[in-house]
Amino acid sequence: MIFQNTQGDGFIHRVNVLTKIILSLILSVLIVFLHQKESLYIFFAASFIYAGMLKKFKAMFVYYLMILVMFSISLFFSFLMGKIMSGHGAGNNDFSMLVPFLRVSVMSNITMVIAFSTTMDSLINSLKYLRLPSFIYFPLIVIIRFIPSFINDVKHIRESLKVRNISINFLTIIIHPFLSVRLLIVPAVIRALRSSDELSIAADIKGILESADTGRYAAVKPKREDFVVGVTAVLIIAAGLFAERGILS
Amino acid sequence: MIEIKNLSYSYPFSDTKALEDINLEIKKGEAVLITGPSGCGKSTLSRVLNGLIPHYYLGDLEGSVRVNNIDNSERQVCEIAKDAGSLFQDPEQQFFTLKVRSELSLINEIRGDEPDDIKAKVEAVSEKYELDKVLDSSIFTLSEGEKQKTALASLSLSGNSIVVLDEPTANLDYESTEMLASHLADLKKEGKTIIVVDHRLYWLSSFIDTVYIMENGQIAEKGDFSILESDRIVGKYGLRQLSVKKEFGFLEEVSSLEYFGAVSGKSLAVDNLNFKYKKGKSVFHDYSVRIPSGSVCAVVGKNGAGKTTFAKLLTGLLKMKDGEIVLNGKAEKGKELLKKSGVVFQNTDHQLYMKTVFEELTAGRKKTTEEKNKAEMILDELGLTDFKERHPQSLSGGQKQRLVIACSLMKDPDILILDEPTSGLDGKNLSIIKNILKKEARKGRIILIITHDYELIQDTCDYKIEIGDREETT
Repeated sequence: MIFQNTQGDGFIHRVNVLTKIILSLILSVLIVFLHQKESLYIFFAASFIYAGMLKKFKAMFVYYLMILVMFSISLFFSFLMGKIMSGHGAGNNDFSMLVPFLRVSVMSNITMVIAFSTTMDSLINSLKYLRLPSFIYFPLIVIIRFIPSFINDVKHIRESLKVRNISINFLTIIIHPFLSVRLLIVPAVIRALRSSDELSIAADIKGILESADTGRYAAVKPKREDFVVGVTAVLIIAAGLFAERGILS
Repeated sequence: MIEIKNLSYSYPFSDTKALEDINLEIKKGEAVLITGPSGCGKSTLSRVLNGLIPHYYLGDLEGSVRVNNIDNSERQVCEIAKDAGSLFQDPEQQFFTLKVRSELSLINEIRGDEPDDIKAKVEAVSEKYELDKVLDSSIFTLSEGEKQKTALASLSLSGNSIVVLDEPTANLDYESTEMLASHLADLKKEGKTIIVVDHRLYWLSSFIDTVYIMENGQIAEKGDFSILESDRIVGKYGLRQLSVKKEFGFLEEVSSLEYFGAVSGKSLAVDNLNFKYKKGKSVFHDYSVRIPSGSVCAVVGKNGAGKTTFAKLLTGLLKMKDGEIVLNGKAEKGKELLKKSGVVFQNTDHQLYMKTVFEELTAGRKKTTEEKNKAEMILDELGLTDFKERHPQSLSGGQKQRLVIACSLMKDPDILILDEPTSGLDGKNLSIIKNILKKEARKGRIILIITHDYELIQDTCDYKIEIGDREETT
């Protein structure tokens, strides 16, 4: 029980943490080299379904809302630059605008799965089992651990706003955009900065960087869920690469 | 064991020295108390001891700090932590995993202990700290007291030769505080060195050898525990009391009051309240209570009993499964309750948004002269007028606490609920909060204080509500 891999009992929770990490490492490298819309759409759709299996629909909704806002802002400025600097090649608002968002979303989807379906101790042990250098695994576990902390902070901020009878909705954002941003963003940024420091300190005082224990997960045998996820991942990666190559040729 | 020589330190972008010319020596097996007024440098000193200064907090550091004969500047925080284990003021800051069980097992897992050994240790320590019921809970759903117990349990598993505890009882109930005192006395017998940084003094007399009182970053007084009995010292440094009433027999239980008799119509009545969390057991079952207006009522009970849940239900932040809340003769629900109530949570970071103290009070409100005058008046009443142009995040802990109370008062609430409003405050700030609460009660408000601060309860409260075990309050 102490060494359980997961935080829940769904299909995705039963997948070994090592499988999830290997999958995320392969995808994070692969996604950088993909450019074609077909291949990126395939990986985005697959990772979206993968994250959806967590059934954390509220967190996903908030995340994609943020992505939509950021995408709209970048489109707006791209359009603006296109108007101002017409003839200078600026202001592309075709698929290339979408590429970074698709890449980030694929990465976020697979990171969300690790963050919400894995216990931190099993994650730490697995990363060490992979013998990754500390400058890679240390920031990685802090980032993954940061996600639930940040969500918890946002909950508290929303609660505090409610208590003061301040409601932030679409209308207030339109009427008081600066005040709305301030009320939502300032405490979130302050907490985010503090949380990242606090998590680094917590990891450091617990000696996570130093630990030499890497053997436990060598004994963990793959289960049916790992094979299902592994085979599906291979098929999707093959389809994605085929789409990328197919377009190129 | 610990040797500090000519230590001075100032935080980045600050001209004031947070620590100045500190010299002290703490022997192996010695139990030391570091106390003093808020902002005197106690927590900064504990950060120097565990190496967070200068490894995480930059700034100008002079002098030397040696822990177990090694200078802190020569080794990393994780190496210092093997010798000197720490409990932070906010225990959530030191959690790395998301569940209580994994938080407790992590240290031993990292050390490579055998799974069976770890399991046995986790079970033993969870029983000792009464954490068995929450072992598989998320750390985010724990009460503040349970968080403190989890951090203490984790610290006790790490087996350090030195323990540095910053405000370790700020959120603990009386039984847990006594249990901690006895646990620390045992550790002392085992030869461990104990350093406690605290405002609360009543629980320390049984094991503390040496007391250091700090003021303005310097060690102002040193002696054995008896120096705290001096009225001169208590008065001069605004210290807290040495003894508190252990029982609340002096307070009347609100449930014993006649509904409309004792409270003459103006009151808060909770009838047959039922509530349970989605994945948890029932917290309240057919619970009824009456609270008269114009009074200060302490909400007491063991850690994790459901006190904060009760506050959220009273203000409409949580939806009750069943039951009725009647405020001044009118049944109220959800948003209406929220409009008529003010809540002050423990973590002020989540509650402060604006650029200045004044803007903080008027945020989200109509910019009328009436509202501005009201804000000015509340700032004046709470002694914050001098800070009205300051950034809220630049205020001290006591000032921030008063500011969030001020923000709640802007709503002119019928009910004002405060969750541990005096945790981390010295005797002087405690008195300020006490006076504010009494004054607000006299205006006819219902003041509910969720607290384990016995000094606050005995001097401020008229009534009490005792919330039972987490299992079920009936």
